[in-house]
Amino acid sequence: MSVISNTLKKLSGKKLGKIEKKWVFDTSSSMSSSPITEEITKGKSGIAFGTQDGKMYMLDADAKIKWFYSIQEKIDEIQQMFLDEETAKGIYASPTLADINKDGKKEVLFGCDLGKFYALNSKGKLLWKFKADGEIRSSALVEYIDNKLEIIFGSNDQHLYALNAKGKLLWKFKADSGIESDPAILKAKKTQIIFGSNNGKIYSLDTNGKLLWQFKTKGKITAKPAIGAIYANKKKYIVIGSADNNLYVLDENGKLEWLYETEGRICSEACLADINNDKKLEIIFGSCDDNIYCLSCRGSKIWSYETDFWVVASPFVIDIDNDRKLEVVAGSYDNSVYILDAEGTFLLDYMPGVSGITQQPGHYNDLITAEPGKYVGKKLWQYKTEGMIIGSAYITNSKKQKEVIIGIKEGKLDNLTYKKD
Amino acid sequence: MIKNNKELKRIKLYIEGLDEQLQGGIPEGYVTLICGTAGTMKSSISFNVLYNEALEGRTGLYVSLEQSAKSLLEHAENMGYDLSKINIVIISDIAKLKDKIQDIKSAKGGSLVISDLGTIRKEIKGTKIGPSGDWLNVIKNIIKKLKAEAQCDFFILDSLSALYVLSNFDDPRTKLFYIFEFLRDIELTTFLISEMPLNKSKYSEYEVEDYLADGIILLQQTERFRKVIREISIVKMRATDCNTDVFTLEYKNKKFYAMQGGKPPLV
Repeated sequence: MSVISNTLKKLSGKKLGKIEKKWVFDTSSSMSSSPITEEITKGKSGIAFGTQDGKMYMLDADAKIKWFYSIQEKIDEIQQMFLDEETAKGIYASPTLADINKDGKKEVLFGCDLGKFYALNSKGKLLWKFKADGEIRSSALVEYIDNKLEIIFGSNDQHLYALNAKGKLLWKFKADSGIESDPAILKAKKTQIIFGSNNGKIYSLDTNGKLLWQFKTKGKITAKPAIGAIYANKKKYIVIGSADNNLYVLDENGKLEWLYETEGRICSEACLADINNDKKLEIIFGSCDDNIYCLSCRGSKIWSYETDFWVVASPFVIDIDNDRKLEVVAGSYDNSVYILDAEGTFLLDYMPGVSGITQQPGHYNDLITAEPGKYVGKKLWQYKTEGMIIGSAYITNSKKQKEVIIGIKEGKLDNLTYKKD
Repeated sequence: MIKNNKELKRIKLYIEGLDEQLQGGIPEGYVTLICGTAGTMKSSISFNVLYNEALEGRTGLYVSLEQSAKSLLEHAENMGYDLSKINIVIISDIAKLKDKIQDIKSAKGGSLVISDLGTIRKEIKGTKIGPSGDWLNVIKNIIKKLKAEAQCDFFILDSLSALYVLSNFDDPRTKLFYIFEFLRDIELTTFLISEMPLNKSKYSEYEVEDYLADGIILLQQTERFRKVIREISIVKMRATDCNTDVFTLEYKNKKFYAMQGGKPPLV
């Protein structure tokens, strides 16, 4: 890359460097769950994900298979006929990695469409399993509640289950419909377990599984609630999208703080991050109206960026090029990963200068008092993959660089890294 | 690969006077709705295709969700079909599907396979799965196995209306889209029997079926001078230059006839 081209990029405000594929991993099956990354042993990251044919993979940061677990359940011939053999063992929820038995290593917890929930040890050996009566498409919440570890997840049999570290049922809660949303914990005056359900209700339970409050939306909720002190005070809020196209912000009593309407279903968890150093949390999420949105904590749009298809994977915020400015990483069903400037960019509505103003329609007073433009999403890089992006995560390598891991529906996992020109 | 009109292989309806109006028949692998109110011979027209194709050495699957195989075959006998000329296989026990596939494979020529889900539903009552299991998956699994292992070329579902009762159709538009795509992907020439309401206000339950189907054949009963005559018309057929006039439908001498401007019955 020539000095001239770099200088031109700098002058035009474009970022230097490019996004390159470091490696690709092919599962030879359809990928069904968003990959997750976690520090498995000190300084070493692992990447875990499930496939539609019922395999749970654990890879190291260089895409080498550490182990994989294949779901084996005895199903008689008649039962088999009632199942869709291509998807019956599908793992649709991301696994949860947590040390549930205090052995210093992280176990892998996940459910599948056969209604079974599995706990594997750090080497991929089965520790125990639990049977629900419906598909399990909800990732488990693992939390110490009153000094006892609880593993909490939902099922399409309408129940939210809480198990202990050995897989024994502690309590269960029956909702009005199936539960595919991941539960989240809200630690306030009272610890609450928050989750959504297929008929659009958002539930809050206490730590014994008793209903505290519920809030009704008009569409299925598959997203995990994001919980944070968005106003930078002590109060925590619940941010969750629904298939009724709205993003809801509720207070800890289940009262609506505000909602933001998009033109498409909101399927995944919103990302809460302070992108502009004002200590308050901005809200970044994708919608099936093809847009990635960034909202202020008050619910006004800071910017949006339109992709060519639905944005189903949860976006996240990192500094991919180590320039101390944050970027938003979001995958779309249009097969591309978008890396956007987290703060967006200000776009003038007209060219500055007297001629710019005089050539605008309307009275010049309006132009002088009106905002001279608006913030819009600013694409820094776009990387085209080989299929629909169903999920993404990131790892930090030994050089403290962030590497983006992209899960592609067709069964591939891409590692994208930033490279200086 | 996109085939042009002349390259499309066509499947006869075996209705004299109508196939000629359809460039020889329905394009192979297409999904066609057979719509009509009760008594318009929807099942008979569909059965007629499978019977004649079996005589030609090809295999077809007739999935009956409510009428038993026994009742269906008795009706065919009464209409004069010589059932001894073809190989008939009845699936009334899912556990014996492998054996039935073996029967189809070992038979000379084609087979007419009747999957008697009504009987299977009765048998399954009281088992671990119970009658509330996902019957759509059962149908899809039978189709997949028959296509893969027994060279099945045709599929008839009798009826869509019964399927809606047996399977969960909370989001019918999406679910039907995937069913039609499944049928097209598996490349079976398919007839879906749709029970129309008596007021004939729509061809199918959710109406989206009309748009998803490649073809619609409408069967009607019309009263003229206190006589009821049967009529048939092609409402739509993709990739076909067809005559959409209404024809009189008659069954005589063990054969279906469609007559343009058919003679009204004598009073």
